[in-house]
Amino acid sequence: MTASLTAVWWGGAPAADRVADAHLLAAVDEALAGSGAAAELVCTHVDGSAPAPRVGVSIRLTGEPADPAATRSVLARALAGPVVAGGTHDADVAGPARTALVEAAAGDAGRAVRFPGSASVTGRVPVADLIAATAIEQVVGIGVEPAGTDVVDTGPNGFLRPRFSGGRLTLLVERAAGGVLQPFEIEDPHQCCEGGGH
Amino acid sequence: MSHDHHHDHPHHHDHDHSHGEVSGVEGTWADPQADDPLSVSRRAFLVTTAVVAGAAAGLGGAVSGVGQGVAAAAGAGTTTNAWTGRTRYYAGDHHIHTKYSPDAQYDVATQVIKGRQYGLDWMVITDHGGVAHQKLSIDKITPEIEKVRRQYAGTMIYQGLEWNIPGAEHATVMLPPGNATVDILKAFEAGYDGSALAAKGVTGNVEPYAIEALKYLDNQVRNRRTEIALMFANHPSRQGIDSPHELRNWRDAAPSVAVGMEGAPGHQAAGIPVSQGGPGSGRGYYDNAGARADRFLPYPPESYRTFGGFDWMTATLGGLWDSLLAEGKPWWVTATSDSHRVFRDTRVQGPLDFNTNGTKGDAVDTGRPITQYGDFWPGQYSSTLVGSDSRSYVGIMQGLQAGKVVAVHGRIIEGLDVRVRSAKDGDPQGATLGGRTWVRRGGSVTVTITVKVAGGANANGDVPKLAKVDLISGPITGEASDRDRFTAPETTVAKTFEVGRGRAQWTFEHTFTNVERSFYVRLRGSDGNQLDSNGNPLMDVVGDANPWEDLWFYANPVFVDAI
Ligand SMILES: [Zn+2]
Ligand SMILES: [Zn+2]
Repeated sequence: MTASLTAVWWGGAPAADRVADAHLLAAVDEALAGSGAAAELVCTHVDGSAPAPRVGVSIRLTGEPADPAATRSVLARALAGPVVAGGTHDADVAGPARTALVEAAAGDAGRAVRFPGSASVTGRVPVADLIAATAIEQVVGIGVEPAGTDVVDTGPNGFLRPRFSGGRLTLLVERAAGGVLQPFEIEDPHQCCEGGGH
Repeated sequence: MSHDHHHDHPHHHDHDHSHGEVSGVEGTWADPQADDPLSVSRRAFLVTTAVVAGAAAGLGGAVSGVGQGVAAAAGAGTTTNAWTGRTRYYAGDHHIHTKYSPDAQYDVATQVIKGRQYGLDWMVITDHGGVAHQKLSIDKITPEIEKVRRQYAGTMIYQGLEWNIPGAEHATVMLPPGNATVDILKAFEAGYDGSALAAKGVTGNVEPYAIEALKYLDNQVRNRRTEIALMFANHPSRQGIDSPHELRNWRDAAPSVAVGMEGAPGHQAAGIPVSQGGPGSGRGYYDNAGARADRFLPYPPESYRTFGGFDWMTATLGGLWDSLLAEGKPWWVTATSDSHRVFRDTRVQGPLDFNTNGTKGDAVDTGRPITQYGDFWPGQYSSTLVGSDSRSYVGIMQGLQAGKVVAVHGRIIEGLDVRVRSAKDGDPQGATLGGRTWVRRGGSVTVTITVKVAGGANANGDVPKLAKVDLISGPITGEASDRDRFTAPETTVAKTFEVGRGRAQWTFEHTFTNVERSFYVRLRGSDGNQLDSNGNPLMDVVGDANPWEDLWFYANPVFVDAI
């Protein structure tokens, strides 16, 4: 998707190696509350620049907050890791935050946890409607070629996690029971060894 | 995934001797003595003996395994797993949980009784590694296993472990019963289980610990604390965290220990649709999209799904498994149950706190079938057939190590005899599964397959019908320069045999003529219910994949050296 030239991007490096989507969005929204700006696109990225890969976060804001530095430091506290503004050429910028900003700018990777239009989707939606009503630019099937009239079952919560690929926000889908499609990433995949020793 | 990790972890094992860092030369596979420093001289001695024996036998004396006299012996290749036509196969399962796993619930006896009922000859108890398991569960399960062994003396019940491989997935570790078995398992788990390491605060790139762990097991064999020790990578594609280089590194670190992977994961009932009263998940619980930051990013989305119930690494023609085989090295595939909680069983986990007890306690009967459970009993759906010369603990493990192994779902076949040979231009006796034979360049190689189809109903009450057998072949292209390679584009289906009806046994034959390159062959077969236009398995649909309606078997390869 093409962001406007004035788009404001932030990159973050949460301390935890796994951040639940809901916690991430809550932290972002709380930090931005009353700041004069909102997060319209929030993506997670994988930063492999260190021996142990880490998660990075990119955030596109609707505009510049009234006090950017103060808002960033609130968000940094919530994520327990640094948050930097896009365009910063600071050598100290943490790997995951930098990776997130670079990938977001290029649109070649990143998993969208929130994107324009995502809040309006629930249940079964035709492919063409998803593309028309949200920032999703293409729907790609694995083992199936989706037509515009094919229906994607997004579940009761409208769970969608499209990923950037080749500059386009892409929703991967696969076949599901009952002749519909389902997002390749579902809301509640099986958790292995729950309660396990690790 | 780099390798600059600093080694400062405690060594729990006696380690005061040489590791014998001899990298694999000839016989890097299927030869347990390949990297033993003693083996070089021993091998030279055997070659001399062979020539003398061949000379004594005269040119016509085609003594099995020796060659055809002096001239043949001088130019002969290597044969392992020589075909005899008499190999007996034993059905088993190397991945079974009990109430000594935090997410499972049955007694050892319950699992063993069920496995026997479903025709298994051998089973490996593999509860999850972890701090509480290492401290508490092992001491509790050991007498249980010993008691059940005495009760069911005809069944081989191995004590093992489901190891959290540092930096990767789970793996079966199995040992034969012996004086040191429990000590080895405890020391291994304390020193090398991924969760035990995490509990000690070890972070960063932990891949080197996996290598160290496998060498530790290898050393227990060299030191004669155990006759044999094996490791199989379990559900290797489930989370995308078993990278190709890790698989290669495990294999090469300890080729007689790290010998393979689950070709098909357990939890196969998980795919039964809700509309058919099932859990409606993915076969094997392969239903995620790659969520872990430490996943191998180049794996494609479909690698997170099963195909005809088999893991993507195994099911993909010219995929990761083939890229390993194309190196001419062993890497065998199996099929297991991973039985934790069985589809439609009426029991739930006991009430105890696992961390303080090492078990949840005895399962509690609710009296009503629980349809969310996604597992089968051992042997109910999946079995690993192992060829062995002896019905013994070590004999079965040697068969597994040697790759005389067939992975079978839903009784789609009952037996398989494979002979690969060059009657005129090489080794006339030939080799069977997991083995190696040879042909002179330009000669012919014949593959003879005898498959015994199901003689009765499987555990679902169906008599499965084998529809086809694919003979797959690919060139051996040598050591992969890219350790993360996961394709073998030259591997193809050489021949598909259609299987008819009305016979208990079918024999098929195919001859490769004018062989110029070393190659391998392997087999797979299917009930033909779910095939793509090329005859390959379909990607299983999450929520709509009844395992009984899509049955496959996969047999391990035979390597042919063109010399
Ligand atoms: Zn496991
Ligand atoms: Zn398991």
